[in-house]
Amino acid sequence: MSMDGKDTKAPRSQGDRGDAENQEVGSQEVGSQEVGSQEVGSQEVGSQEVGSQEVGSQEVGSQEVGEFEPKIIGFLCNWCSYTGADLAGTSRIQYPPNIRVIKVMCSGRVNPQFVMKAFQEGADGVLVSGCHPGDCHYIEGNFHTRRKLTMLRDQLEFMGIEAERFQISWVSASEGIKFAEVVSNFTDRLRDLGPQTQLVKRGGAR
Amino acid sequence: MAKILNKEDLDRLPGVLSGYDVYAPVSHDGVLRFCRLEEDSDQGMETGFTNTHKPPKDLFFPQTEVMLELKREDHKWTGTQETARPTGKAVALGMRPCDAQSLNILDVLFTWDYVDNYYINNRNRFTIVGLACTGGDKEPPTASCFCTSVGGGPGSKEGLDVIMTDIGNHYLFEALTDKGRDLEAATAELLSQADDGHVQQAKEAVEAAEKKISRKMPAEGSVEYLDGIFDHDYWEGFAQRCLGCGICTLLCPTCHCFDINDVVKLGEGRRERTWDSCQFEYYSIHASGHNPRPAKKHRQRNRIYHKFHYMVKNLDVLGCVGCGRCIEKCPVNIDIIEVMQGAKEAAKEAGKEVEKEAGKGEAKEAGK
Amino acid sequence: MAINRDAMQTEIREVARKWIEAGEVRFVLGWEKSPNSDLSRPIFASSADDASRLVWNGLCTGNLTRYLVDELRKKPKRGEEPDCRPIGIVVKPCDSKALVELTKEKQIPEGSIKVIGVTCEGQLDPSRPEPGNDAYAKADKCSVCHNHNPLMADVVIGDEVAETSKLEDDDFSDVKGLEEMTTKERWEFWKRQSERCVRCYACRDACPMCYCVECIFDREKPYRWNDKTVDVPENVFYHVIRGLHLAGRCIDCGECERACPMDIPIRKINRYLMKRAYQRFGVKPGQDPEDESMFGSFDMNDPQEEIW
Repeated sequence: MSMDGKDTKAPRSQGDRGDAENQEVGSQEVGSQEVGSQEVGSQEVGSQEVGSQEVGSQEVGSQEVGEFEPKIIGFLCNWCSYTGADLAGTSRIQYPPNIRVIKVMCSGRVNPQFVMKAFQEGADGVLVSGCHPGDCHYIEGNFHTRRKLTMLRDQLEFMGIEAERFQISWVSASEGIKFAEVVSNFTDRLRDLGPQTQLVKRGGAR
Repeated sequence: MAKILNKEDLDRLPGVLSGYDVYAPVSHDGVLRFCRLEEDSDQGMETGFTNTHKPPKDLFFPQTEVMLELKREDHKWTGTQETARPTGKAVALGMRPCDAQSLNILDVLFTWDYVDNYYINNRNRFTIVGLACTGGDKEPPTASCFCTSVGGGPGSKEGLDVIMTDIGNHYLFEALTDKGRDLEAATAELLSQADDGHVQQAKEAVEAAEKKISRKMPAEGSVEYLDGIFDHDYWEGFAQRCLGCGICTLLCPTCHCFDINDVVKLGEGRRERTWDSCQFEYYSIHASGHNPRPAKKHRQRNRIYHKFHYMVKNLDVLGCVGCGRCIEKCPVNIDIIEVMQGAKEAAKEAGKEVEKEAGKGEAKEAGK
Repeated sequence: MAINRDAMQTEIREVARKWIEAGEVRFVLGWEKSPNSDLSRPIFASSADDASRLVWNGLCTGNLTRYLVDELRKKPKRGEEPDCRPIGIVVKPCDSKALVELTKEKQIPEGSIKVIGVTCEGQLDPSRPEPGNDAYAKADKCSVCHNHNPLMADVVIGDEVAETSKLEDDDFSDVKGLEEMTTKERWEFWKRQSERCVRCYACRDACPMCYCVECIFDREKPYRWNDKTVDVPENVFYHVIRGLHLAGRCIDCGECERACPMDIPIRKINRYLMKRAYQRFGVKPGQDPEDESMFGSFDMNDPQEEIW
């Protein structure tokens, strides 16, 4: 474990692949704790918990600048993106823990209502990731994704919900690094945008 | 004793009523609804309007109302009555007499078999200040008003605590009930004594408005003539063009159906009621999937019968106040007066067959 | 107006009467004069007498194609033979685009409709009285209309009207105002509109392209996608998803906005998506029944600038 204590600008790759420079992902600072530096493999399993959720929790409106941790819902297609994400994990590539993954068989299965529902339940950002066009396991699923979800993005933007909150990406099964980058960039972008308040359903009595 | 209020002082009225929450018709991009007037907001009460789009039942029976807070503790759900129920006195300014009459009807509907405390709580805290219809420019009666044939009138005092009538430079301000007199006392600084001339002017304005109402609902004897034509083909005709949108019921001041839903999210939630409409396809769908009113004609027929037969027969109130909103807003011009006139005609034609039809109708109902 | 509406009205009545008396159609869907309103309203004309009540004027704004799918789906009463005759319908050019779309989506089997198409130079908006000969202002949808001649008709009534514009040249200026706002301003705008939406679903019910047997917004088993709560998040969900379900299919007949009792500018959503559908995928709704549906097809080279 290389614990040089410096800011985790580059993701740590456990096992010292030696090409950490190529894995510039962007700042991993999560609040003031080095939760981003997931000491995967360390004994601090407990500290995983801290990183994996509400540090500076999602109470809308009670945020302090710098403490906001966006919640991302990721719909990953089983064959490419989910496997790619898995590869990121097994390669010990660091990426922010803000994403909660929902596996779907194909990105084409993602209904725009899923995205809206995610926003209603409090997601700050939604990521839909699938195979590269031309490589879909089901031949043409991702072509349909492209049409449907780019229109959804336009629709959201037109209604005043920032289109940057909804991201589509093509991540193949071998692109663990790319997946980590996508999540990292997306998280940073959402941190700047702040919590999503337009569509959140009110819970409870209020 | 009647008082008068200067027209220029109307804007000061909400300010003077400091002990009250003041609700008045407010324009929302030209669409009028009863909204609370914020003390510091410059958006004030509308004048020169016919009627609000959304009826004032919204004040006492909001479109979405939380009934219970639900919490899950120790694997058990508990529901507590929503604690932040509005309290304190409130006043609704500028309610038209037809809408005020609907309050009397709603009072019966919400208390006849079960006292609906949510409604009653809201209703009791309000003092209703009505605005009589005087037939001026941009004022009612409109081409679709028909309050006079359903027991109301442009100057009707039913359901009101105070009635204001436009008499040129002033409003005549008459307190009608104890609540009204309390309000009068609270606004004393803006009011001055009215003389006989003012009262006469108001009377004449209302009479002139009455003459302008051209449409008449054949409400007389509706129970009898509707009785015989439940299964008549008549209901096929106009209902063919119905869209099933429910605008007629949602904007109706007397319609009161609601749906109750539990909305929960991870151990906490709420039980709320929202307006429902008998015109929606799944309004009365059974758990088995059977729909007793599958076609538009069944649902439209139900609306007519509910207003002009069931309510009259069972509760002794006519379920229509003649505001005309359903006529104005129906996208395909299903005109309730026309429908009732047609129904009366159909009943007349069915004439001697009425009892036979009723017998057939009952047998069919039983056989279903 | 170059068009002689009265002459057209006579012709419509004649054709309808002929079809009805010959028993060629189940009924003719047209417009009739309302006895107590200026607006012309739908009539299911099934007799010669009904046919003589058909009208054609500047207030025939309603889109009658909305009734088609429901009528075509109707099953006869038990013991009765199904009526297999086509349904007659009078359509304006904008309505005929709905027929094209419905044909594209296989909702109108061959020979199930018999169309009387009328040429049109514009309709009036019954909610905007204006002093003058026409008594009402021109409908907004008519100022962006590119089709003045019916695209699908068995009989065309009225002289051909020269087309002066095309979808390709439409600058969509009616949505430009909203597009040029910041995201926050747009949110404020739509939030304000959603605050007064009463979820009557009139926009959905008046739309010819909303014909699902069970609409997603009615679905409650196993759970509701769209709660019954009437507040801004739920209302926005409704408008976003309905807009998206209509993207590439909406032919801008304007019925949604006309039906709305709370004057919400619903057409703006559909117009914007129409613009994006055209810019991105070259989709022109309601033009050619042989076209493929936007979401049902794809191109290998669909634009994907925003995709990582």
